[in-house]
Amino acid sequence: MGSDLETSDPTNGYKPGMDGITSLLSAIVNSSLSAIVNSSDDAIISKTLDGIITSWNPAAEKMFGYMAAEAIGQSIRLIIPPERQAEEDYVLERIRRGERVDHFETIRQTKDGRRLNISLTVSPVRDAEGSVVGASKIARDITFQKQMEREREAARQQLAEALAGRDEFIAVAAHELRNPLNVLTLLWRLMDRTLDRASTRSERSLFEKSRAQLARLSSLLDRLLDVTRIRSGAFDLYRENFDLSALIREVTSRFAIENSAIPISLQLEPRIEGTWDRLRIDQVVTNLVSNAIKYGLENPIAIGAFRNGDHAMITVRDEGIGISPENLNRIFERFERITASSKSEGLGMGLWITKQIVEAHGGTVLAESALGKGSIFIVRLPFDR
Amino acid sequence: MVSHQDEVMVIEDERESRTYLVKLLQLEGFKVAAFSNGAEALNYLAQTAPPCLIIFDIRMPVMDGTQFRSAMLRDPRLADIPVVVVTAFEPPAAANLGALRVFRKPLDVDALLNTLRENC
Repeated sequence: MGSDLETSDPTNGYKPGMDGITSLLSAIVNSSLSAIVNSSDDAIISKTLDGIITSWNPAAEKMFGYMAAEAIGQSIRLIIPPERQAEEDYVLERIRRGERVDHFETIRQTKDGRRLNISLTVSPVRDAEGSVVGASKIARDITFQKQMEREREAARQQLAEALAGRDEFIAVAAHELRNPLNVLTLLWRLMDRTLDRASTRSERSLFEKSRAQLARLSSLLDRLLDVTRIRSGAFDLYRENFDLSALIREVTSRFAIENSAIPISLQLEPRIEGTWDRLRIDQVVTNLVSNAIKYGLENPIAIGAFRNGDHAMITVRDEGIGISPENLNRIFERFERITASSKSEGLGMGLWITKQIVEAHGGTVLAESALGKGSIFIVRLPFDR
Repeated sequence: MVSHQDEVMVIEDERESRTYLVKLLQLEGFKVAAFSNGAEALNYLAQTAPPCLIIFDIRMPVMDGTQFRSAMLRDPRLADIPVVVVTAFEPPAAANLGALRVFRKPLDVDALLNTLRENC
């Protein structure tokens, strides 16, 4: 390959007749090849089966710092770092068998000792009889690309660590907030007991409002924790046997005090016993009922629960503002709200969390709605896991 | 089987949570004995008739709720006392404790009172 490629005269060896035409064509081909090799950005090197360099293009000069005159006649081991010398034995071994080595990513060393990340393709060179007599080698400098990859990987890692740190901070903060919130709740109950008779109507109303704020604080805390927990995949279910109807009664009684003006009707099949995560299902019912109250325009709300084959069903129906068809697809996504109205509070995560909880139980939740007529949310919970 | 007295035990290391829970339960008509960790409660249990129910926190110094519950279950005299767990942390931490109910703080006071009325 070496000397032929260095031919610069395309008419070199021109003779009239068939032989002459062949050799002219050959000369033209060689000259084009030579131009390609000389202008390539990749180092193109040829060597004998003993690893002696026989050609060295300008890109090889630039990449490795050795001029062609210095490199030709030397062993290719010149550019192989000491700890990687064995690679050459492997490459030569494959070449002798007539095999190619493709996109072999390795490290080579320049004349001034710099290490380069290189992608190597080495192919056997055969003589007219087809015997392998040497190897041609194309080396691409991928140092920059590798550097970029490393930087991207480091950035990804940093981001993941930052997110995990943030989630952990939120989790710790939320837990820490639970104790004072618990004390406040107990104090509120104590005051509720002692104020009872003496309090006026307006005192009573202020008092109820403070209770509503307490409830909102604790539900915000729950959601904050849930988002980090679900995101980090640490979303365990603590299953226990309980009566779904009793749980729904318990949840609605919490809302009834605060929203006594809104008629809430219950249609609950007695004793729907199943093995679910009680606190989680409590959260599902709480989320759905609180949405029905929030968007229900103070119209009646109907809550139902019944058995349906191997599933328990929960339905929560309101006669409120309803949801437009285009929003119906989005309400179970994270940070979505049913309306943009200023009345909607919270983080917009309730329905997303509801869906995660129900699906973790192997169930489904769906909504049907007509704008201006109200909505119904239907939860299907399997009795069997 | 030893007959249970009509007392409720509260084991909670957070002083204010403990104080106000005790006051509230007393206002609701329950007899209450309160402790700040599992070891104190076990000492008391060794000298008295078993209560009708024990409410305990999970994270506590000296002897936490999980250790306390294991000690209870090892003692045939205590093993069948109904327990309720109240925790600021994750319900899974309270899994497998064989509790009647696990409550997350802030407490659902009504639900807790119902559980007490059913058992005491």
